[in-house]
Order: sequence, then C-alpha cells, then structure tokens
Amino acid sequence: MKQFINGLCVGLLLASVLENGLPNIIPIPDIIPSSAPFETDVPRCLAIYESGETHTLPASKLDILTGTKFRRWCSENGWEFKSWDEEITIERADESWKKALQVERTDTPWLVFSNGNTGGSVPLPNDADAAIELLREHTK
Amino acid sequence: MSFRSYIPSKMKVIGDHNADVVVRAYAENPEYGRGLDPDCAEPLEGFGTSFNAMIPREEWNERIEEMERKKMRLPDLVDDLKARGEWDGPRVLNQSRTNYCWINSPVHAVMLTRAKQGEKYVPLSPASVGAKIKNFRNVGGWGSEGLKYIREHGIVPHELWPANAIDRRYDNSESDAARKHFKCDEWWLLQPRNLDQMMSCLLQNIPVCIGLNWWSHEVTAVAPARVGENSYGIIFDNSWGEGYGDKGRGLLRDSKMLPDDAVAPRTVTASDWK
Repeated sequence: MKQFINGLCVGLLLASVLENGLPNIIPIPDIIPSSAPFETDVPRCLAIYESGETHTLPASKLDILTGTKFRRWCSENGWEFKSWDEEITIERADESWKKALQVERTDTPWLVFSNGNTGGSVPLPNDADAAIELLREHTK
Repeated sequence: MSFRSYIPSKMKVIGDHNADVVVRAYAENPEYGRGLDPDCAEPLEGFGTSFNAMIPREEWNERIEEMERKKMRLPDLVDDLKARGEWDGPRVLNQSRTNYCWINSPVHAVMLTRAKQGEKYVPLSPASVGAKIKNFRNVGGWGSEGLKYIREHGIVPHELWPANAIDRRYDNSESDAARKHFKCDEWWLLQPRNLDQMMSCLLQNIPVCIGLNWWSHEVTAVAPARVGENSYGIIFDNSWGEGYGDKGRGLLRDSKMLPDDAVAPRTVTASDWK
C-alpha cells in the first residue's frame, strides 16, 4: 500500500512537470545565516571545554583550544578568541564573554561565535581548518 | 628514520651525562638565583585534585610529532603571540638574585595559562606571592605551596608590585584588590617522579611547575620532546631571563627531568584587567 501511494505521488509530480514545466523554486543559499547566539560589538569566538577531560581529545581538536593556527587566523581576521573551561570563574570578565559562556550547549567541547548579527553554537569542529571555515562564513 | 624533536643549538640540554657540571657551573654564580630549599617545608601533600588524565605511552610519539609539526605547543604559542605583539614582554621570567624560583615557576605557569585561554598579556609579580608566603624573607620554597596561595589569594600585576621586590611597601589595599583578578581556578598535584603524569599534562598543553632537588631549583615544564627511539625529554622555561639557553628555555632528559614536586595549573580566573 505504501509503495502504491509513493508511486502515485511521483506519477502526479511528473505529470504536473510535463504539463506546466518546472515550478519556480525560490533559490536557497548555500549557507543559512543563523542569528547571533550572543550580543557583541566585535566578532567573538569562545571555545568551551572541560580542562580535566582534554586527554580524551585528539591533538587536532586540542589544536583549536590551545594551538596557534586558529587563534592566529582569528587575530588576522578581526575575531577575538578565548578558550575557557566550562567552570571558569567569570565574575571579572567582560559581559559579552559571560553571555557567550552561557549560550545553551549540549556537550563539551563546544564552539560559540557571534559577529553581532550572525553566528553559531556548535560542537567543536574536528580541526583548526574546519573551525576557520566555519568562522569565515561569518566574517565581514 | 623515526621522528626526533627539533632541539635548537642554543638550547641547554641537561641529562645524566652533564647534570653535575650544570650544578657546579651555576652554584657559585649569584646572578642565577635558585631557591628550592630541601630544608624548608616539604612539598604539600593532598593539595589540589589528584591527576586522572593519563595519555597512554603508545600515543606519545604521534602526539609529540603532531604538536611540533602544527606548532601547537606552549612555546610556539608564546612565540606566535610575541610575533603579533600580543605578548608584550620577555618569554620567560627572571628571578634575578632572589631565591624565588619556586614561585617564579607557578606565576609563569599562570601567565602561560592566561595566554592559552586568550586573556590579555599582563606581567605578574612572583614577589607579590613569595614575599607574602615567606613573611618577606628571601628564602626557598616549593611550587606547590606557591600555587596554593595563588589559588586562594592570587597574584599582583607587575605594575603594582615589581617582579622581584620583596618589599612591604607594595603590600597595600590596591595591590590586594588587584590580585583577585589573577587566581588559579583548577590544578593537579602530580605524583613526585612520575614521568607519565607529567608528559600527559604537557601533551595537553598544561604547564607543570617542577621542583628538582638535584638542582635545588624549580622550573616550568612547557612541552614534551622525543629525543630517541623511545626516549623522551621535556622543554622547560627557566626563570633566568631570555639570555639563558634558547630564549630562556632548556631541555631536561633522563632521570634529571623527574620532579620531586609537581603542580599543574589547568584553569585561571577569566579577567579583563585594564
């Protein structure tokens, strides 16, 4: 029965295309900008991790948290970057960074970034190159 | 041929073959302060959380090679920040003629951890901690007692308390308020002479303050190195200024790299100090 209904739907769609031509489909951009996960005046990116668990991470992920490649790219492209333990003492930190740390997440390590208009909140990418690609889309 | 770590020609390499020469060379020179005093209090026991983040030996070679190739070790980070003008000072501290190596190391480790976290470079004063612990006496101690104080009270920036000033004039309400910005949040107390624990920290870019009885000195282990087929060393930051070794750094190997006291700060207070 299910196969019959599927076949019927495909048949009707084909008949419609043959009779009316291809429908006008609204083009979908490759990247759908998400809204900014936290307010900030300047582009900011925060990596969040559990400092007692970094031994479980491959070196390629550790490179984002503590290495030079990603933070150099951030610096050269107008992003401020921080890499914080999820339980860090933040009472003396800037309000915007505090909000970044408070963005909802489901796991660690995590990456949250905002340019004030768009941004993202995602599990930590696999390596520095992937993290750079992620931010590049939100770099003005 | 299997991978070996790159060791710059200027880097001081200290191992079983030359440690006695090194000790003699520096023992008589007052320009090189030390200050790990075996006669003072023993290293703290039961301070901090026990280490539970071991990286198995079979992963060491691959991780060391990757860290070195990708320039992701702590010395690489400091060099990179310095090249971009974001580490606006010497790469290592200089204890000068004080006996405060034991507190220079934890303070340096906090500065490295701040850099790792992306906090702004702020030069911090070892004397602001050492003098308070030792009641303003210029005497030896252990890194673990230094880190314990930093955990509870923090460190004063250099601008309010000069690095080597064992002087009560700087102990005031302003410096006391400032030190709260520079505390250690989380750390590990490692087992003495435990290479696996120390290497595991370094493979995670966690600096380790190591007290070495044979040298009566405390330095900061900052990176792992592979010096032979299954033979390892540690790159350390000394507290004798950038004129020592390679930009202030050296390499310990063999039994000479095994610490008698070892603490590893993992997280420091986030602070936008102006």
